[in-house]
Amino acid sequence: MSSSPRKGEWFGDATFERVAEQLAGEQAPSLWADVRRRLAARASARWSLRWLLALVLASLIVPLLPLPSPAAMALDKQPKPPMAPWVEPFNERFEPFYGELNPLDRALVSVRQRAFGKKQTGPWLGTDAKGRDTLARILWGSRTSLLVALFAALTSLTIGVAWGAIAGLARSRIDNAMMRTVDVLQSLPTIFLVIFLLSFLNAPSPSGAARSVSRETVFFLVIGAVSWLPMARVVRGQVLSLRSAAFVEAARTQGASTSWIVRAHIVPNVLPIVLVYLTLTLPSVILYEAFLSFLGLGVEAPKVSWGVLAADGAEAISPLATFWWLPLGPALAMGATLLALGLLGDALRDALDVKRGEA
Amino acid sequence: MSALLKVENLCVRFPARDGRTVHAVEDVSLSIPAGGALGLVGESGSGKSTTARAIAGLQAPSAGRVLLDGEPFGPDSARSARQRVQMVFQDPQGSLDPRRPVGWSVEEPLALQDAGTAMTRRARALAALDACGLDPRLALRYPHELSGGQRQRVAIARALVVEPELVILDEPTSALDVSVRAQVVNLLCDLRQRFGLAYLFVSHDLAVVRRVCEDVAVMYLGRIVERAPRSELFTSPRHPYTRALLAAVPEIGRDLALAPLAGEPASPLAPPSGCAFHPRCPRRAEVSANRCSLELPALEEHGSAALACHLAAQSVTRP
Amino acid sequence: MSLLEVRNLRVSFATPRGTVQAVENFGVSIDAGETVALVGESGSGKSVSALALARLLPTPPARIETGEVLLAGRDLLQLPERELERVRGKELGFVFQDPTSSLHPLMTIGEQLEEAILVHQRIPRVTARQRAEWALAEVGIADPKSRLAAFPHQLSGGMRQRAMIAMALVTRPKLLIADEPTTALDVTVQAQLVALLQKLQREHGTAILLITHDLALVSGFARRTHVMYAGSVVESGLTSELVARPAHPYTRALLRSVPSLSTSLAGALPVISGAPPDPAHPSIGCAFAPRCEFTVDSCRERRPALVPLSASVPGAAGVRVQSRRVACTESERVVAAEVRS
Repeated sequence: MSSSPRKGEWFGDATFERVAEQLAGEQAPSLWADVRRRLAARASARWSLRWLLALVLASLIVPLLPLPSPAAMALDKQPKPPMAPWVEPFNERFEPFYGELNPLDRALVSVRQRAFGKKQTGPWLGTDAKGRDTLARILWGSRTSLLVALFAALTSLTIGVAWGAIAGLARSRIDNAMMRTVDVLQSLPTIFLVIFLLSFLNAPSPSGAARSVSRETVFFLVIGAVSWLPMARVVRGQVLSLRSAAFVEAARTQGASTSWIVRAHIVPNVLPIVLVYLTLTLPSVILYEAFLSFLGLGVEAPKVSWGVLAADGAEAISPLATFWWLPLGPALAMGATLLALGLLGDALRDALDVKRGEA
Repeated sequence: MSALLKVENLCVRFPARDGRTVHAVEDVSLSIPAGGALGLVGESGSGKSTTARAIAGLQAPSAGRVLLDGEPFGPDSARSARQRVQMVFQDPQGSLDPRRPVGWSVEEPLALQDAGTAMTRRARALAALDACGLDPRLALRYPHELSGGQRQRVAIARALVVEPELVILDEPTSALDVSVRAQVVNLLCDLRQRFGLAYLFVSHDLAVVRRVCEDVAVMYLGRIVERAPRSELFTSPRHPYTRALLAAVPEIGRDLALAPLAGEPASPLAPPSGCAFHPRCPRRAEVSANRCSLELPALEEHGSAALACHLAAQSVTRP
Repeated sequence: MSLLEVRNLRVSFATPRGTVQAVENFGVSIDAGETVALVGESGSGKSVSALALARLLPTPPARIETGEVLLAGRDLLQLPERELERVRGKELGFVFQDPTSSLHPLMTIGEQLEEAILVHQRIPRVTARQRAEWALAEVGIADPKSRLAAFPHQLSGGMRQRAMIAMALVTRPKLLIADEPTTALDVTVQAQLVALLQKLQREHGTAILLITHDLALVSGFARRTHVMYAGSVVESGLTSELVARPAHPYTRALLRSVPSLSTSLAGALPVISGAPPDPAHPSIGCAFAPRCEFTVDSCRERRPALVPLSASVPGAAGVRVQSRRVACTESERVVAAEVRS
């Protein structure tokens, strides 16, 4: 002990500077690269991702496609079954009425008009009793589902994560207050809430003038109020357990401030669970929208969504004549999307699990 | 010789759910000289881990104080002070961030200090890893890719990289394989000699404590019941609990304690009156005739040792 | 005839990384009323062997490739599941390491004890309850009547383990398999439990297979010991002789590296360099060769078989090596070397 090195000189050997330079060249293999590799190795994840990307792409470019308008009605008495496309590849009926479109969509429609003129393809998936093309309605309906999913994801990622993180880090009184709020909001029967808000917000104002708040707005309001709740819970749980993790305590013994601990330790360890949870809760939001629309409380005509299609399809099943293509199309589309999200979430969870080491 | 670490009448109490209080640590006083090593032994419920955490600044004391070089030390101390006392935890896997390469974890204390350039910090971290017997190239690996012994060495390197004066070790070998423990024990002894470190070594493994520490304190139900230099404690223990503890350690060629200590430690929620050990004391015959059940024995100093027992104190004639 | 005779047990696991050989070659024989110890560290295969012989391993990932497990003459590996269930519990009792996870958290101790009794005997529940109370008293739990109504989380670790021992012994099995029963407990509680096991063994004549990593613990308790490393038995014999004069380098290294209260403090602890091998990547020769100080070239080419140690070992004058078996070609040199220098 008489020859202990002086302070500042314990590890001052220059040889390690050279090793440090060597190692700086080799970056530590990033954990995210490992995640990408593991995901790519799984067939179910690859196909799920492909389906989802294709869906997003289709929903964006649908005004460009030579399909009949989803709102175009031809009041034949009978719904037409799916027709092999090659029988009637293009007909001259052109129904440009898509309802109100935003400028980008209008531009796409005008591009389509220049490309295809008046031609459009026949009913690939048949038509319904009002003559509306099922395929077109499925594709336009996907926009609503994806929009709902996007909105729920955004609220989860912003409000949900922030709420959960603050509750997890705060003292128990604040934590309690925040989580009881979550409890209360989660216990609200949302369908009643939607109905209540609809009637409340659509009641005539004191001056007698009628207000009209669309069902969609109310619907998105309710989704926004409710979809971040599970994420808040999950994030809070994870943050709580991380707070007492030994490596966080080790950082505290080194004099790390709370903001350092949050940035350097808590965020990277919470991110994976946030991602996984997101992909696993989106299906329930999409389904919820479909359910509300099925009940007539969601999207209104002439807008279309998968729930509306499911409702129409359900009506179409009668003992006299079964127009099977009407419920089948939307059901398959929705089922495939929900399955893809679920499989992707599963694959993400396995890929992000650091401890399942591979050789 | 002034002590590096001085703990005075430390108490740590937690509120229990039903309104009672858990007396985890009561009236613990100890001191460690610069470069010294004190072992803190006891069984579950003894309060040794809580004591260690309180000294490390992870737990605010309910009463009493911790002094580092005469200055108060605790969770609110400045970073420069906190880095003089470092800790090595029991679970090597849990004490390293699973999403960071181990080199990053070893560099983190230096990054917090913001000392030097990134390159010099990395060089120092690599040198620390090397001093702990690890190939510096392991710095790029993640904790789950290393073995338990390697992870614990990383944790030790991280504790050393800021050149602390006191290292608190909480059961550093308990989670390791038996055949790897000796490596880490030797490493700890070597490092202490090389860098003049002081240790507070908390463990239930008495044989390991005996190897590493010159002084040993025995805790029972939140209090220190005996403290002595290792040459005395292991050869002539005085407190009945220390005797029972040593007799219960399995030794090759010896049948385990023929009359093992009976009963279980009382709960820290409701410690017995007087001496906390009196319900289980093997010298029970003498207990009732004495103050054991009524009066808490004070920790009395006898030279370099200390003892808190009414009975044994009476028969102290040995040096 | 011995009570339990296990021969040539081989167990593998199917993992995402391929098949892993957890147990290469395991054999043990236990006589009635005897205590035999199985010593090894993590990855040695000791727990897997014990679970495998009672077919307690889930057989999709695990696979018992070969082996014979003769309990009083019957091969347990060949029995149909229904008969095996009767054997387990009635003739074989189990105590595991962590009583927190092996006791049902939502049933009281009394209910679990009664269940253990009623599975094997058709007696009225009231009688079973009485027996449960006696069982708790027998294992030294004070006030057994009120303890019957306690839930596991209301008991301390030592008491939970006593309750587990009570459950294991309530049907008076012929063999008790105890897998690290005291590892998670304090050392004074461990001493109490060892005394309890010895007392129960004397009273009921139960044989005990004790699995642990602590050689010192077995030295006063088990008559014979088997030392396992990387899935095979590397040495077996009378415990008292084995710890005095080990014949396998691993046993010797273990004895030297684990400090005791009387080890000399001069100099560093003798270490075993390296780390236990990864079962997913087995080596060709002897599994201990990378860490062994007695290796010769042949060690890396072939796995040594477990053979009896010859009684005429030079340098072992006065040392009895009765019934010792060792898997090492250099055992003579190991026996000749002192354990403590």
